[in-house]
Amino acid sequence: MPAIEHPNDAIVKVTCAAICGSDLHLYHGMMPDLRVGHIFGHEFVGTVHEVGPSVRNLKPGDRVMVPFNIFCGSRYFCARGFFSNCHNVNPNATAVGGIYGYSHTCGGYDGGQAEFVRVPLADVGPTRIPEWMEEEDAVLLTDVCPTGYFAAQLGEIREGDVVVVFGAGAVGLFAASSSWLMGAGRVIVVDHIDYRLEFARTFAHAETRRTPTSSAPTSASRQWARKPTARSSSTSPAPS
Amino acid sequence: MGAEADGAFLQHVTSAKLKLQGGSPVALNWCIDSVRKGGRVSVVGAFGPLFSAVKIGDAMNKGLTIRTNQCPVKRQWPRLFEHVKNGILKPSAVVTHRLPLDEIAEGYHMMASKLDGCIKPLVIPTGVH
Repeated sequence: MPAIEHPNDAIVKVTCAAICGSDLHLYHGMMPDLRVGHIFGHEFVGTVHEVGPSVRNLKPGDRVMVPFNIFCGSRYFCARGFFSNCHNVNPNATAVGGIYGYSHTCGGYDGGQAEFVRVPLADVGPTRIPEWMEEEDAVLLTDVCPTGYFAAQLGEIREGDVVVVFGAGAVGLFAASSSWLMGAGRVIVVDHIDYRLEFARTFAHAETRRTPTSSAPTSASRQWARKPTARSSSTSPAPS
Repeated sequence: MGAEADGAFLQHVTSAKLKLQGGSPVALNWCIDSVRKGGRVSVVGAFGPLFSAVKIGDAMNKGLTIRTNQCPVKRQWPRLFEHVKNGILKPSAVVTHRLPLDEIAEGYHMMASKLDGCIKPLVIPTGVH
């Protein structure tokens, strides 16, 4: 059972958590400084169980969604919106801020794939889940959906652009569906796993291309981008 | 885009096996090769902090713009809340599995091995619902 360690901590009783594709990097031993006993999980929602004495925005019983970033919300980078690059919460790295359950490289904060989790800076990150929002939508809004949307934003999509998304995991699916919202003319999702490409067609209304698993598809993908109508598509048509 | 994207054997050996690279550059190099000259590549998710054999020369010579970061989630919330409220986005539509927290090891196995049509598994602690 985690305890309040700082006046602005909260303890949240987790009601739903997700496994993220990036958790697999931990699972596969790709993250440096992952220590025995560290609790994974950076996508979670729950109910506030206890708050520290300085917490003003939350009270016990509130249903909250907690963004995967831990950030101070006030200093140089946070003031400029770079919440994922907060310089104030993670002494172990200069590039990245804090992330729940993502090794000591990302601050060593225990994550939410647990019954209870300590939420530091409880007045900064978490938000009460709006009445109208379903819990499963809320938990996916703590990382995967915003990350996919962010990918589309970073692509600075202009009307009619051809967008290619590599990887039809959940982030890729949200990147593809978000691209339509930003004016994409074609959205093409590339992966080598058939059931995920099927999902990309039905969920994200994207065209799909299947890559072999062991050789780069670069000449083929170049061709797709260069000759929009040259190849017949095995996919559903894009929505108008 | 992914730090462990499958694709090239050499990259898999150097990153996943030998840990010489902080992440697989396979998908990123595909992006660099795929976009038109002057195009834009965005990199999100998780990428290891160490050396990575990205084709920066090709990117530079094609005049690409590469934009990156881990997502600042709370900055996206106001707009995404509106999209969800208006039914334009339905995040939970990608949820494929719901498991008790006690069975989370099975969830990791399923997610990692791409079993049973897994896209997004949720875990729910005992006694919550």
